Amino acid sequence: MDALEVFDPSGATEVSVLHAPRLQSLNGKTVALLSDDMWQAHRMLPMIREKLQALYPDATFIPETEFPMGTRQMDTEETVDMLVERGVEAVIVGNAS
Amino acid sequence: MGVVRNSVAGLGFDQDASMVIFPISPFLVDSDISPIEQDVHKFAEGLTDWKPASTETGIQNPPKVRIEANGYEAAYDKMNRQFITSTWGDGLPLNPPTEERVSWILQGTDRPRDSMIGKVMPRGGIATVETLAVTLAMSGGRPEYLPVMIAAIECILDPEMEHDKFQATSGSTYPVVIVNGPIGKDIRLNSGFGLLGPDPQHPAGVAIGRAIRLVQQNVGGALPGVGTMSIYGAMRTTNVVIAEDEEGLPEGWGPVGADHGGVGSGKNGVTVIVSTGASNIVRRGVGKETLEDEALQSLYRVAAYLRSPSAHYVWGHAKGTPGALLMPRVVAGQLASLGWTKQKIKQFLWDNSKIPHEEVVRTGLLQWIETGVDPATVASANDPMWPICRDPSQIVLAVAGGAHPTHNFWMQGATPKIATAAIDVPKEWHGLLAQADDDLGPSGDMCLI
Repeated sequence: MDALEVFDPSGATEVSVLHAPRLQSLNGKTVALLSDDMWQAHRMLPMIREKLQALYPDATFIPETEFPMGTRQMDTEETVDMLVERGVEAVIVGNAS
Repeated sequence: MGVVRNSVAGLGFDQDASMVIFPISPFLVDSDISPIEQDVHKFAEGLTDWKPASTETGIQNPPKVRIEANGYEAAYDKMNRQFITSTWGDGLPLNPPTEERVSWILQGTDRPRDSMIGKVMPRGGIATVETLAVTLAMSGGRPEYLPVMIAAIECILDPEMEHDKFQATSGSTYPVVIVNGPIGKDIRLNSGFGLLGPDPQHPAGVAIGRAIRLVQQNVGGALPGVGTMSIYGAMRTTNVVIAEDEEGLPEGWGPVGADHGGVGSGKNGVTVIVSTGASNIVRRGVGKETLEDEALQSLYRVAAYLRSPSAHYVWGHAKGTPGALLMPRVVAGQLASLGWTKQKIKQFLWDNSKIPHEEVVRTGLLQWIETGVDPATVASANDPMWPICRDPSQIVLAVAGGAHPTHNFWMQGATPKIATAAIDVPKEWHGLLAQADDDLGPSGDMCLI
């Protein structure tokens, strides 16, 4: 029996941050929507917000139009600061395709 | 799904995310989005019930892979099958990246093997000198190729190149690496006939380009349909790794790297852009024109190829490039003899590739320009004649290709920056080149007309 010992070519990976803990419930929470303004997000996100609001009337859903929209535009520290300032506790981001 | 998983991994999270997944149909124009409505509760569940796989931080180094079989040839075959099933291959045979082979490749640099080059997005795998040597070992590379590979990857990972985006996009993006300096000839990079394809006389470009692609896929996660949504994936088997034909540069024309802030004449360096397409342009006349008429007509013809309502131009409009034009030495020499400098050619192409506002509107390019990040790009949306980049100097013009007058080659850009880097060779460089001569036979141009 012969053997080859070879490197795994995918390299090392680093987990430097953990995902945020999940909320117990959306009731009473503030949830923001963020949009890359692509892939029908302009239709889907308002509909999602409206339906979630109906399911969780005590929650506050801030529309995506109140934050920078666009792939690069929303991917900034300024957007994060805006979320913190508004007391946002969870974020729904769309759309990827 | 894979794109999102890669993206969060690239941000430093575990390679997973809370997602609500649908088929492509609702994401298309005028689509039925009722499937989203039916599953709207899943968005809430993603914020309350989803659980990540990883609960600890830290670096994870994958262990080596042991392949056992009856005989070396069987082990070699088994390794290739295993690398395909692990999605680490590209369909062509790979050399086993054993410690012996990787150590041989590492002779191409004096940098420590654990020296970090950067994280390759969107997956965020860590590229070290060793990682590049492993990949070059797999692709059929040699130690003398490693300096170009390192410099090219450094350019690709330059934050302003936004490689996380071109890696994951639906466009057919591929890196274009143009090498200047004596290293091009030293390592047998092609600058002449057939330079974009395989050539046993110049094997370096294929091996380096293939290795870059494997880094993109294996370390960066750009697996077709999973981590990259590139619909066609053109030109990606070997990317483009070529040398400029510096001996063919007309008097007064500098190397392409120097045009874009890289190293000057006689020094080793790379210029890297990202392209998304390739067009062969028949630029020669039928032979009965005057040289002046042929030159002018050919430049108008080239400009017509550049004058395209391409949304990719928006990406590179402010600081990148609309693309790279390859021009063989014969054509460059003819143009130079008529007084055409590089600068004058770029100015001509820029002037004559502007797009009338009516066409910008008619083709929907206007909306794409308005999505631009740079304010000046957005402000240009209503220019009566929209230039494909802000300044003519952004057009990359390299003298390369077989010494023949008929064609130019245009690689349209999708690149927010033209990246350049110096190439560092190891102290024992000449020994490596001597070994290459022993292994491959003497190098040299075999066909020039």
